[in-house]
Amino acid sequence: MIRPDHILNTVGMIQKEKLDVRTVTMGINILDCRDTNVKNTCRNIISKIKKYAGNFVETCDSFSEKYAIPVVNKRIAVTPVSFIGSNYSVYDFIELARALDRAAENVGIDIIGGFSANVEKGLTDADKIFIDSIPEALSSTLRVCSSINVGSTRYGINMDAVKTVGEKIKEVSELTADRGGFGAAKFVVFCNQPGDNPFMAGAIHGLGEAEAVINVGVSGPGVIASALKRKINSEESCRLGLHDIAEEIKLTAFRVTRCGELIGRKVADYLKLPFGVVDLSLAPTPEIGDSIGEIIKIMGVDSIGAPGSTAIIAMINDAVKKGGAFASQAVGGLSGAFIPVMEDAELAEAVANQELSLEKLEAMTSVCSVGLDMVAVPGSVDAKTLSSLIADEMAIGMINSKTTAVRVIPVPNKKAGEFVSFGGLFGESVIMPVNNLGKSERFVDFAGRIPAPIHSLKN
Amino acid sequence: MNYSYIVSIFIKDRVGIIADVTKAIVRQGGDLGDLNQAVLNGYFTMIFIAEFYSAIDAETLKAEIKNIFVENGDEISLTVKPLAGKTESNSFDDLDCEENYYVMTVSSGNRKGLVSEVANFCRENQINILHLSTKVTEDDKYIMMYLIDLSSVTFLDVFRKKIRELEINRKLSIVLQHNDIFKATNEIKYYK
Repeated sequence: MIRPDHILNTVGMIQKEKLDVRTVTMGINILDCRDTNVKNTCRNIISKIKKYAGNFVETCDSFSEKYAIPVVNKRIAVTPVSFIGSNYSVYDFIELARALDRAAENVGIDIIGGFSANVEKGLTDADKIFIDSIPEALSSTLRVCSSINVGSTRYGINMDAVKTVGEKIKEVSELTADRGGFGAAKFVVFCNQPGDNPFMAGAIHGLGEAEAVINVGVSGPGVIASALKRKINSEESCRLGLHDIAEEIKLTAFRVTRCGELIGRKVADYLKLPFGVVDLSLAPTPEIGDSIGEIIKIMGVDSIGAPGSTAIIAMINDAVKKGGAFASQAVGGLSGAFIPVMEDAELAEAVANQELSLEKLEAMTSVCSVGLDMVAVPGSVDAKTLSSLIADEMAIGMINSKTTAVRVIPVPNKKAGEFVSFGGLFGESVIMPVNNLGKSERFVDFAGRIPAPIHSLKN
Repeated sequence: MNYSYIVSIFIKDRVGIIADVTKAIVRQGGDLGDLNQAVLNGYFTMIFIAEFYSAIDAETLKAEIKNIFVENGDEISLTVKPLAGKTESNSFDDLDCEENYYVMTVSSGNRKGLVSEVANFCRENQINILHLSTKVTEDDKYIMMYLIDLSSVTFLDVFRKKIRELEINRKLSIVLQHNDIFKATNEIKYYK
């Protein structure tokens, strides 16, 4: 029998501290759906997704009820579609995006990822056409998310792609100007993109994965914040060091991860699919009390972005990995602390109060698990400045052998300091100013490749 | 042939109770099986299975145990009953049986009759209570943690609706979760 205090601890985590399983994501291989005729390919994709995910949502909901743990999102990731698009036209790729949208709708999924490409070392003809299709694909669909891997520690950064991607972000934002440029919130640029990340917008079913697989992304900023508050307010608080706080984060991450692992394995067993990984990420939501920013404040920095913020993120990121890695049989994806500005109420407030600058946010991304995520910038920011911003973030990932990403939303017709809201989990924030506009044009125009770092030579 | 008995003891707590009980069992050539023991407010209670390889009747065993305590001046309440057939393992530690084990956590402002209300609800729904722990919090909240067997429940959503009605009618707060989630979050070993 479980000890009563352990029962109350677990009940408290779920009932009061907003513990949930943030996402159960089914990865599906669609390489075999390819046909020279795009209409057949679309039909094959819709049919295959229905075959594997027909009762996916219902299954997740039933295990959610059994354990009384909310499974917030049920999502699907497919093989990056650029791999099945050889000789397809821009129009064909847009048709593929619409097919993915319909396939997701058919099985009750709100977001599907994998309208993606990996161009870390170079662009194939199909990749170039695919990238051209992204703005129309994202603006004409509701559920499709897109990602591009433009660099890696092993191969360096493809600056031809970075240059083009800056332009595409602008285009998709302008095509969705009536929704505040929301299309750009469904597009993310990666360095070292993992093939088993369950979180959107960057989820894909990577090459090398099984036919279909279940991955899980956990949550838990609220749970960790509550645990730290309890620890700091406890009788022993006068003797607390940061190492004690790190230990508390580890213990809590263990419990959070176990919840995700349990639900994910049950869903996978029921659907007779292999279980892939638990992504240990602390993923905030715009809801009050579910914020990474709040943890920064609890740990003694009163304004997010003040000196000390980067050190705290580094410590959280590491402690979460340590606690979660022991709890799970297989860890993957991004696994660490997310700092998505619009999706985190405290971070968004720090931006509104001009306490958190883009430059400081970039510094914090060098030790978090993702990057510049859900950052709203003025619609007037030019494509080349966006590309330079992306290049900086990719360089952090490449040199540090970690995943970095950029999901930046130029909000059409709005200036820094104005407000934008996308609602739901996508959140809201004040638009961040971008300094030194247009000062990086010559750098971006060089294009070509930034060579891989010396430590890529491991063989 | 084995002779198995189930024995229950209730006695004011002191040092050496288990040592005394086991001394009586060993003297008769017996062996202890599953055992559960608890101390509440200074009183000790224990229930256990004892197995013997030579014939012994319940009255003899009872007298053997009781004499040790009487000699020590203890007042003891003791029951010994023979067990027919093979002894079963302790039910809530048996992994094969756990698919239907749930923990129902019920909390309310402290008042009379809370356990009775919930226990009656379980009986009306043919639900067996395997284990119950309770706790009174500093702010006088009464929390009950029931380990229950939902084998008789066909539809979990229907049962949850009944729980919801109980919550409203009796002004309770109830959380029902499968037992595995507590094991997963509190034990090192991973339970599939």
